[in-house]
Amino acid sequence: MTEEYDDEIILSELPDDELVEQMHDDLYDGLADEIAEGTQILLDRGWSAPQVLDKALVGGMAIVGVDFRDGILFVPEVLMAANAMKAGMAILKPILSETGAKPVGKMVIGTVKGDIHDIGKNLVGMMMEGAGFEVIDLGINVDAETYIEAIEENQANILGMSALLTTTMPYMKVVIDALQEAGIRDKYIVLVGGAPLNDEFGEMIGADAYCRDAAVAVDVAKELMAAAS
Amino acid sequence: MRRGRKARQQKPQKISAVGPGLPGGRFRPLTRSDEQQVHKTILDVLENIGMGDPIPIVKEKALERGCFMNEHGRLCFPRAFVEDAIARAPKNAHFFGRDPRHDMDVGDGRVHTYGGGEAVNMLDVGASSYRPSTLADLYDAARLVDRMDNIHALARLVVATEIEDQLTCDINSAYVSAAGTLKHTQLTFADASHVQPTLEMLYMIAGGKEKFHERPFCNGGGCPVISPLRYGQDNSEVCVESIAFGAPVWVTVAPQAGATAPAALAGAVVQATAEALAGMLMVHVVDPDTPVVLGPWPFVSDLRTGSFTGGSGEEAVVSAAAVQMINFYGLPSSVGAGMTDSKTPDYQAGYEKALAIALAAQAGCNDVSECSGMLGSLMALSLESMVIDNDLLGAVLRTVRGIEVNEETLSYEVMQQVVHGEGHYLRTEQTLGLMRTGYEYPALANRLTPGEWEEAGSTDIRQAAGERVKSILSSHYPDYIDPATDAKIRERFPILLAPENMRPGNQRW
Ligand code: B12
Repeated sequence: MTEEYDDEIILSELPDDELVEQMHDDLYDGLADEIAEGTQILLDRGWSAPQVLDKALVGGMAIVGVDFRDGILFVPEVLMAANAMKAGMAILKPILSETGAKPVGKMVIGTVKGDIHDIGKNLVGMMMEGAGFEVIDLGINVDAETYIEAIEENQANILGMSALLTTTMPYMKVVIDALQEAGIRDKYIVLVGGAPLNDEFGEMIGADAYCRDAAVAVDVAKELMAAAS
Repeated sequence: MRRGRKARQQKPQKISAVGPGLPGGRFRPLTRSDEQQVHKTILDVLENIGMGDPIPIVKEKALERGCFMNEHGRLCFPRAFVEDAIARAPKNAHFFGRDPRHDMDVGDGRVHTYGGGEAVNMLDVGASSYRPSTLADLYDAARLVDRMDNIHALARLVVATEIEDQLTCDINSAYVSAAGTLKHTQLTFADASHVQPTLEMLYMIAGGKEKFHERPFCNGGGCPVISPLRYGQDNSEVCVESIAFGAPVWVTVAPQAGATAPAALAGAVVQATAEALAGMLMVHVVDPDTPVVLGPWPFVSDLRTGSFTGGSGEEAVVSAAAVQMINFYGLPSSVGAGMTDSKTPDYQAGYEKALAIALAAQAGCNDVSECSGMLGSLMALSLESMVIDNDLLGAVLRTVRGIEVNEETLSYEVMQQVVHGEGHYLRTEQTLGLMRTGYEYPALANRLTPGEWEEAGSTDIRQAAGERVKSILSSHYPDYIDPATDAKIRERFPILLAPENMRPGNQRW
């Protein structure tokens, strides 16, 4: 990519502040290679991984988030941006865990047992990745055991469950009850979503929050992560 | 003469310009060459990309018949196999009502309008917010469908969300359907193991197993495909088990353009049709004589938010194109049309429904589904909307009927007579003959003069619809299951709608 456009911008030649701004633009445009390159350049210049994450990546995705909310960016564009974000995260992740810096957060997500609707769940997963979360997607038809195994094994912070059927919604409570029984409910933030759900239902089954859509999911996840630390 | 007219007024005979089974198919969004290209691509998809995760019985039977698993472990259907199966498959699907008046002969572009549903909310008469739907709502919907001339059959329009046990829910849903209407009813099942117990109950209603199978007034089916191009286990099993009805099996797929189907509409038509054929083939390898109603329902994503949108122009044209492809194969077809995104029966609901329903019907869809009362992107049912839709369907079907052109209807002689005679057509033989049979009259559409309308309180169609719903539902409590049988059914099955909720004086109406 850079060879073709080398008469334009050479990332490594930009001063820090301009590079960060350029990375914001590149995130906006969903350019994964450029984001990986920019991330590496900042690290090479002595930036810490949390600094890069916060200023260059999360900062850029915040702009994407606002324009998505305002209807300027469409979902596929946001998902391209999320993909670019993921490319930067791939470089930062090993350094972050090495230095013991706190990652943004880890989410295990899946559609509950008996339910095959996964478009919404996939969207939430990708949006969460776009916000810097690591996402482990268990797919569809997920039972309580599988959820619990995955959150424990991956030391996740958030459990996300999706259900689109009134007949499968009750299973979310089964999973939460299983967490209770195992004595690990309080270790996790539980988010639930899906078209037939609402706030009262989320409350009734003992979830931390019901999220109407993927953008809300990202905001709520960030909020609850901040409150938990 | 005078007495005759009086008698007619007292006992008005409903004559209609339209009815079930009008021949459609004049609207073709794809050219002949488009059709061929789509067809060729569909065969490529089924032969080379194939379907993921077939259930064991389907895989076994398909492999026996020369299908193969490709290097990705996907079940592939050779083109010759697909073409033979299409040639061999039943082209017509006969649906029985409990009353033969409601029989439907589905196939060959004959248009019927019914079905769909499984909304989880109700918009009550006059309400401005949704509430969770219940078994009583499904019973009321069945009673209303029973009285709607242009809604030709019933399906589970709403889910009894208060019933947690799914077998109980499936049995009760079948029960209230049979209690509410004599029209054919399309059933759904959460699990294949629910088919037999439900059939047992239907046998009791029919007066015996043989009686039921003589005229099976219910059928089953499901959505056996998780797009893109993968079978879903539970619903595959339901579809196969539904062969037991001895009635056509419905198979619906709903790939969403932009999300689980290509954003290019041609690609969405290819995938939806290929998936519907894959659903048909699944039933076909188990029993080639069972007719399948193929439902390639290409859905559309609003790519600004990712949400499903059923009311767009894209949805209307892509569904009509899918119908065209199923007609190209000569097989029975269904698409969802009328899946408005509006939350109330308003102007948006009206234009979105009319557009999609008209195109699907004009394309010659055998089962224009989701056209009876659905709102909010399939999230809610409104009975007010259902009675308005009945008018809408009447008007659409009138356009399907089209214009009969012959020497008589071209009217040269009538014109000549009128020009040399009275100077108007109001009193001609022709007008008298056609005023009822050639014209469809809506029950609710307001055709008053502005002055009359103001005098009548300046009401809008939703108010009129609410009145009609109340008037029908407070009086139409049919006894379609005789009390003795009903008692026996209640002894054997956990029926959750109390008899007092099925007669006048209940709290609902
Ligand atoms: C597409 C669709 C299908 C597709 C699913 C394809 C797929 N890969 O997902 C297919 C055709 C396979 C399908 C099958 C069925 N479906 Co369906 N389906 C839909 C439909 C039209 C759209 C769903 C969708 O994808 N929306 C788009 C996404 C982006 O929105 P979303 O899922 O709501 O997700 C957003 C939020 O809810 C939230 N969110 C979602 N999950 C999560 C999770 C977390 C953790 C968080 C924080 C947030 C969150 O964020 C998302 C993004 O903004 C809905 C109607 C509707 N309006 O929702 C019916 C609907 C859900 N289906 C319904 C039915 C009945 C069925 C079937 C049972 C039909 C049948 N008889 O076979 C089967 C189910 C089989 C099974 N066991 O699951 C009913 C529900 C009935 C009920 N009892 O509740 C609905 C309401 C439609 C209807 N009236 O018929 N369906």
